[in-house]
Amino acid sequence: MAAIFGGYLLTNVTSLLLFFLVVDLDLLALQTDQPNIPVIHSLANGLATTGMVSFAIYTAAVMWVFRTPAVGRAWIGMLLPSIIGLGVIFLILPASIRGLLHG
Amino acid sequence: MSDNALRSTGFRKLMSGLHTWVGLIPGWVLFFMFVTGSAAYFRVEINQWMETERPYFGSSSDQRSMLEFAEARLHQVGTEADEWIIQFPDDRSDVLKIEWHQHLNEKQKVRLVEQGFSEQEIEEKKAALEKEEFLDPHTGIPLTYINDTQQVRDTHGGNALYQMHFKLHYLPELLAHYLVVICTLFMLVGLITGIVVHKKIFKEFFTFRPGKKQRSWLDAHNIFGVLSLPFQLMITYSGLMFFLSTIFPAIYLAPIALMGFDIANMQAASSTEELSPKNQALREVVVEELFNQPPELKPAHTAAPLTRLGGLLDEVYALRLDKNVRFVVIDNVNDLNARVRFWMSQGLNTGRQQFTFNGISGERIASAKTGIDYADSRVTAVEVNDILFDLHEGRYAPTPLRWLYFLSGLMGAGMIATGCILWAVKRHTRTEQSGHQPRGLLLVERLNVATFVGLPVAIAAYFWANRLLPVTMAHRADWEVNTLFLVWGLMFILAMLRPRQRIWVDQLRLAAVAYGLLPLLNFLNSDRHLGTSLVQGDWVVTGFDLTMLVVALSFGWAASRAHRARLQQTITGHEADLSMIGNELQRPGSSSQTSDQALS
Repeated sequence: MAAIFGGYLLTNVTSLLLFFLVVDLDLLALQTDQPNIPVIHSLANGLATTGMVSFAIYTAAVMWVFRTPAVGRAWIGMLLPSIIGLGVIFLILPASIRGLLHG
Repeated sequence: MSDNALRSTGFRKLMSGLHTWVGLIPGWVLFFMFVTGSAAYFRVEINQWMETERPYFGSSSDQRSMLEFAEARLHQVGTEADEWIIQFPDDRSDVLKIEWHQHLNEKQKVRLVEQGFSEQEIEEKKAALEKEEFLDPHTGIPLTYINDTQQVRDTHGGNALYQMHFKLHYLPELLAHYLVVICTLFMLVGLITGIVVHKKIFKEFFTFRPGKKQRSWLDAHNIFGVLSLPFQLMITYSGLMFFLSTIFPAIYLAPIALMGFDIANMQAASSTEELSPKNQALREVVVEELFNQPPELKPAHTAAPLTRLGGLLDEVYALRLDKNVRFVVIDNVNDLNARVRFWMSQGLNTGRQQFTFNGISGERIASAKTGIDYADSRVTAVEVNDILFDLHEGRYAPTPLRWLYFLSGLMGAGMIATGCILWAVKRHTRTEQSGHQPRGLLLVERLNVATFVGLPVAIAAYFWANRLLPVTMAHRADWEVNTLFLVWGLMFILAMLRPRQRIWVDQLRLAAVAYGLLPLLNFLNSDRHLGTSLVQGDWVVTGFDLTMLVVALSFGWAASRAHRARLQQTITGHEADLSMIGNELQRPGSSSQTSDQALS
């Protein structure tokens, strides 16, 4: 359970975090309604990179959970980094993008 | 140091528990994916064998004259069409193929819906507007028609096997995708934990201890796995990449949303035509930017004569050294907005390049933004992504490499099969001592046979059906596929009903006979068989028939092994097992024992 669902959550968060680290955030913040070529390039780079790495993250997470003897610790190991990751994403994102994601 | 060693054995033991779990459960689905997927590497060749009315044309290299044949024929039959495709022969297929398609436009579709046609009927109407024809590459003469509409028997050929390896069959597409991607994730975890468990990966590489039951299965599992490990890692990982948006939608949708797409509209639309104007405009920008493809071109609805294609070919030849065009696509035929695209052959060192021309004036069109020809993506990570996809499909692979792909795929199937068998054998030995046979274990044993031998039998039945079903039968191609699954179902029933000791030998023999007689059936039923193909140097048919014989021999050999093992077992009863266990106890420190323990 911890491996399948906890690992899934952790993978999503870590991948998104990685995505926002790869993508040029300053460029993104300037985005308007018109399609912006450098932004599209930057986003595509981010998507392809995180897409390729995400499965490795999931595998590592599943193996880590099975290595951990206590179920409680395994859950903490999955959830805590996820929450921290979400927090970091929230912090590094300019407000304009947060609005975009919610909309 | 010793503490460290202890911890690492502990880790290995935990990983072996994980390895066992992720291996057995999806093993049967993965086996299906590996076998059909391996066959799919030869789908073009399988198509040729199954479309047996196609004669053998030998090699032909004069693309200039072939282009003229195709052009002339298309001007005869395809004047009403919106799109033409001309596909040249290559080293995998020896026939010149033309296609001409008429698109249903939105207005016509709406009218059909109003007239009360169901979605399926509209699909059928659409299919009827898509025509294809095979031409002799040396003379340009179309092949003889066997009935009003067809030159060859109706078959899905190797393409059906290709589709099955990621869509399964009969299941709704989304469900199948989820099943496939989850099993593949298990496979990845299985591979990585397998490497962890198998610590003496190189030392034991040459270890094979035949005739020792459980130990032999473990060695076979290891040999299959280690020998083809790079392939297995590549194929599993790149396979997962195809399904990123299925399994991790958040990772996929966030960037798409940030690009400005309206996600709700995108998910609701089933085709590009249903996208909102904003999404459609954005999509065109993204496709042109990221994949460097020319934007879609709408017809002008003003008639205009098409330029001669031969002149364009000369220009393409002047641009590229390899002078090898794969296919030509003509959009908006006989319309002012006509466009001709030459797709080049993809080799080990050449991407998917295309050259685009104005179909009326014959002028070459380069991307307005970049000033260079439309070709591969220019975004690094996207290119790496593309390379992974190409690697998975072996798109660039010449024949010898294709064989390596095929054999590596089968080794993957072998690794999965021996792993699942090992699981059952191990529990069998364990429970034999306690005298109690759990029902679940017996079921797994029977399902193992029905999958690992029953599926190959069913695939043989697919080829049999291709030769035996009447050529004029309605929905013939679908019935070939149905035969595959009917026979597979039969194998399951057989595995349930027959006595446990007999099922392996039974089905292995059946497989040997089913594959062994295929070349004979082909000889009786077709003009392209070993008798002629060997003389003509027709390597596709020769290769297919000989491969079937090799497969038959392998199953025959396995059947005789299984038969002998069963006889031995009935003679010596449990004595052999007991003495084997005794032998093991005498050398408790042996390395094989530790790796075995790690696996249990």
